[in-house]
Amino acid sequence: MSLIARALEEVGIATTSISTSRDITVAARPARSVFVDFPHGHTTGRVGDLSTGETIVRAALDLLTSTTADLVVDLDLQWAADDSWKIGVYESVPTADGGSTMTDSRVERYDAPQFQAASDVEAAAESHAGQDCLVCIGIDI
Amino acid sequence: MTRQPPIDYITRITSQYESLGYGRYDWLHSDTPSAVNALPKPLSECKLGVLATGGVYREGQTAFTYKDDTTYRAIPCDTNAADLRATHFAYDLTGAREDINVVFPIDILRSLVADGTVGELAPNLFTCMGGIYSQRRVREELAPAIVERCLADEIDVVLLIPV
Repeated sequence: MSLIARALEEVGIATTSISTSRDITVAARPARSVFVDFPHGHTTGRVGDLSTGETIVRAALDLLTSTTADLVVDLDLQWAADDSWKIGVYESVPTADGGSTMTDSRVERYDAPQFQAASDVEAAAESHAGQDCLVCIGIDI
Repeated sequence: MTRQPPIDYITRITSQYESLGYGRYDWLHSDTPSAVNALPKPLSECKLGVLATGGVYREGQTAFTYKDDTTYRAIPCDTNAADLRATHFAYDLTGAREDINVVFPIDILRSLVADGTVGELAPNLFTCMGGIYSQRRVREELAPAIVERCLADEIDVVLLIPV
């Protein structure tokens, strides 16, 4: 993501971004970023909570008035009453029997399209056959 | 449990890959700061583009693959949130499939246009996959395609939303 942000700035387009991985963002150095200490998959908030989402998006847009390099601003938002959700994310946790929970949580890297629903497959085929194809945009690059 | 520091993803994932016997992932470490452009005009007059990496597509489009997919999708900015889907290998999709705004805040962005904060949205918002293994392919394939499209659409500013 940061590679693309940097490429956009190279051609004169101002960018801002939202990060849930502070260390990855600091290493990659996009022009501007707000850090939200939420789990992956919740960059712009919680289900049904547009208010928090709007706070996050507005904070990212507010950075656009600055031209300070390597700008990372930490938002004071907390995902839950405590931070126990951070335990076990990409790490092993000791178990009672002296073992650990390190497992391979990676999903197989399927090289075929991974549709959310079976009906989406039919919708894509229908669109592709019609005049106003939504399928091909971005694919034949 | 008191508040904990942000997760050090690079350390944790590197360690996990090592323990599972995978090859070392080459994290992006930029040696120089990014170029930084000032806004060309007030945000309330700007055309805002979006690039989100959560694997979002619209019903009627082809889903992303899970293997170094460097394509993108153009989502018309007036698309109904209920017509959007999410697919990805690297995050829990439960929330995104219930409310797409948690990774692709299309309703929020439209409300910011409605209240005058943002001038307008680009005609199409862009989505792609994160977690593309090859930095070279992002540099040579995806980044130039997005840059070209943003220039062609005369987008003033881009909000990037990784997952």
